[in-house]
Amino acid sequence: MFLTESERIQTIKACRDCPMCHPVDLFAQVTGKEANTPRGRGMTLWGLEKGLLSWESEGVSEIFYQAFLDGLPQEWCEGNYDFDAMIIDARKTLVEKNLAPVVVSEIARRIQETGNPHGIPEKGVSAIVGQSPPGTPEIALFLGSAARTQRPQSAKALARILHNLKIGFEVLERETDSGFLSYQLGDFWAASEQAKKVAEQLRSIRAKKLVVLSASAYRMFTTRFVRFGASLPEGLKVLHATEFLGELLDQGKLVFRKKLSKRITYHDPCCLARFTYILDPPRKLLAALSESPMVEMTWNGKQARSCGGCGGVPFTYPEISEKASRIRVEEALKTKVGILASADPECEAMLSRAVKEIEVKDIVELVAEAI
Amino acid sequence: MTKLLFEIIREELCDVVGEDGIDTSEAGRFCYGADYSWVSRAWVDRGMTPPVPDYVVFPRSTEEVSRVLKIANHYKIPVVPYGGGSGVNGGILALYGGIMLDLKRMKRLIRIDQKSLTVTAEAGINGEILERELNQVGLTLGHYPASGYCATLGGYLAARGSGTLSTKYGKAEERVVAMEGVLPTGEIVKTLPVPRHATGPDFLNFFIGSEGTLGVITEVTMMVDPLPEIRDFQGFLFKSLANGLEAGRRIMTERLRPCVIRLYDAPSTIRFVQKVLGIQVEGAFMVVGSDGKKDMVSLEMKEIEKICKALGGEDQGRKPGETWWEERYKFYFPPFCPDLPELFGTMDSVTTYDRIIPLYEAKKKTIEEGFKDFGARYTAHFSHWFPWGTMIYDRFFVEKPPQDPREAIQLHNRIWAAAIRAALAEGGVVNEHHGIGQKLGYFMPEQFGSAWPVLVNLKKMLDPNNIMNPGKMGL
Repeated sequence: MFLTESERIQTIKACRDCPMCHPVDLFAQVTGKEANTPRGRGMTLWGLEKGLLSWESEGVSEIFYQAFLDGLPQEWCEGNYDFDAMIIDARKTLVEKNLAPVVVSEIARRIQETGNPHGIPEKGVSAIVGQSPPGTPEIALFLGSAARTQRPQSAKALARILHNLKIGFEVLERETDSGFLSYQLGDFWAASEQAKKVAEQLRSIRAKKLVVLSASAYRMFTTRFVRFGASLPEGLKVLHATEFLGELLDQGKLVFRKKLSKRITYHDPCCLARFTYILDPPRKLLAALSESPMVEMTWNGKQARSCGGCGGVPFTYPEISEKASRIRVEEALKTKVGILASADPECEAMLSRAVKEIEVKDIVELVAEAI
Repeated sequence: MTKLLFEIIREELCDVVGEDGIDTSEAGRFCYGADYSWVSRAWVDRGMTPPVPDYVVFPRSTEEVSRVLKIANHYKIPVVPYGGGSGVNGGILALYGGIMLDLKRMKRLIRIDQKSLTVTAEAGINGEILERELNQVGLTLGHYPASGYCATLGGYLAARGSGTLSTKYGKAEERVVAMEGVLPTGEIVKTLPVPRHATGPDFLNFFIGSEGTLGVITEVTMMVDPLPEIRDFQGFLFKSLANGLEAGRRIMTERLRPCVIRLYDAPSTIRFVQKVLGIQVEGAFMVVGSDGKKDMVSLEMKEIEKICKALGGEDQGRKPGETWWEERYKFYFPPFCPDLPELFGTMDSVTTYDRIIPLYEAKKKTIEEGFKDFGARYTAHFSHWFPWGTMIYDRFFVEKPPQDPREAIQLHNRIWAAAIRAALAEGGVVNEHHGIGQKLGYFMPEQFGSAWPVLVNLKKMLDPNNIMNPGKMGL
């Protein structure tokens, strides 16, 4: 559990009556159901505490898996209650009681067999990023499941940038899922196994910097790894790709020779904006590589809406996930830009499926185009 | 209801809204068992089974609402319209089961008319989302209720809400241009296209303030305003509440147009201004604000300052007012809001300037002296000012209420009833902007007197089977 019992009860009591975060719960925005608001979930948990409902009651399991866990309710909440942790704890109970949706254990099985939650056979990371420039690797890359299976563009672009700048890199050839998804789904045993496996893989790298493309993997490494019994090699510095590129820009190593003329808006991945506070590096890169200032969406920065990819919802309720993506895309379309940029391959996979009107690109791709 | 009838009705409702548009699960229905009212919350808090609907239905259009009401009429089952569930008087409790008609899927922003400055949207749109959409094009709804993060546009009107800036922009009802609704028997009706006319009685008032008892609001056109060039605030501290009230009266009767006057009595200054906002003042604290064109705001604030200083108001500068504005919703989030296990009630009222001090004193005395044995405390602030009077937003608190849920609710209701009767005796009303709901319904005959049967007969005519939100508003 991520909350102490006292914190858990406090959070339930705060949420069960409070409707103040209604506009920021994306699931409720899609379905319009009170049960899909933090208040509805808090009320359900209180009903369970008081014996007015049981874990087996019709609809209980659904209520806890119908949540994006994107951190926005907590960000919005003046009381700063950790709503996501409350829900993840409830999911953990459901997993332990064998009441979670079947797909939860299916995901754990797929990750064990293929390394990714989609169950897609992989050819190895080198097949995506190619070979490193010669020399001692300065950095190691961690792509994440989405870049390895669904959206490899940013990984390929990062490799091009590294070749251009003659920065040697190494990869985890048989990279596997960080454990973040299983953690979100409440399958703590699987999350722990997956995290420990990645930790073991990381012990083989020589570089002292790990550059991570996936926002969720970055969050897992920097905020959750130790809690699942995994540890990073001593002295390893973990950077999100936008932080790494931002450093290169500051050092004058990254120079943009072909500034982009299309106007750009930026979708903050939840894991960066609200859980690891990476807000400035992406904006700094976009300001430097574009001819015109970046256009912010209505809900941006720490209050950015989710792309619909959080909380395991693409696996448990894919139709809701798609509708949520469309809400975010429509917000982007209102800015009348040509490019919807992000900094996470999973976000980009979600958004690109929901939009045909504008291009969806990772900042890393834009950097590669502009150098 | 027999199991067979339950299934028959369920199938007919599914035929209208689809399988996805109805929830009959135990947990899904349980979530509608309480609103923001103390009684409903305390009931569940103490482990008592809440009143839940038999069906939760999520219509997507006015036509679907109409068809649902026809089914409900046919089978004579209750329908409770539901928006944000932020009501504090039990207005959405499904006391007799039936259909909870959750309108939050009806959330389309239909049109922003930038020439006439109006917005048309479906009733289920969330207030904050609507406001942000308007802000994107330089406009504002001008309605900033404490419930703005959760309430819906339809809810604003169904409960006759006020906002923090309603002193200038008007209550929600004053901003309506036109609306569409569904009568209890399923007929879809539209009001006249504009609100000011000499074309008979105003149909708008069939729905405004009806709290779902006379039909369902489905679509609304509201006036909007340009976002102000500037918004300025100033804080003043008065030695006596009477001086603060007199300052507010003069500001309004000299026909200045502040966007906000918010005057806290001394206990309220301690409980909310000091403890929540961290502004260390004692006495009767007032925030005054003005917004609009820069030069006009500057002039207005100078005139306001003159009035306040003439009545002994100590200038606290801009900072306290700006802090209040920036954190105005913080009061309503846990742990900053009044919360269980404390027993509390919010009993706003409104009266004319000549009666407001006696009304305040009568309510304070009724609560603090009448319920002294329970340690009852009273706080008040005055936050919606009209050309003829002001609203009193007052609360009672009992820190350690009885543990037995029935005893606690009895005490709660007795304090409230005594306070309301004190307000009525001083020329006040049962409620100014939180509505009546279930809780205050039994005061309606006392409030309306000989006019009450007119409302009762209107209800009977429009809703012959009494399906619409039964047990609410005294109907």
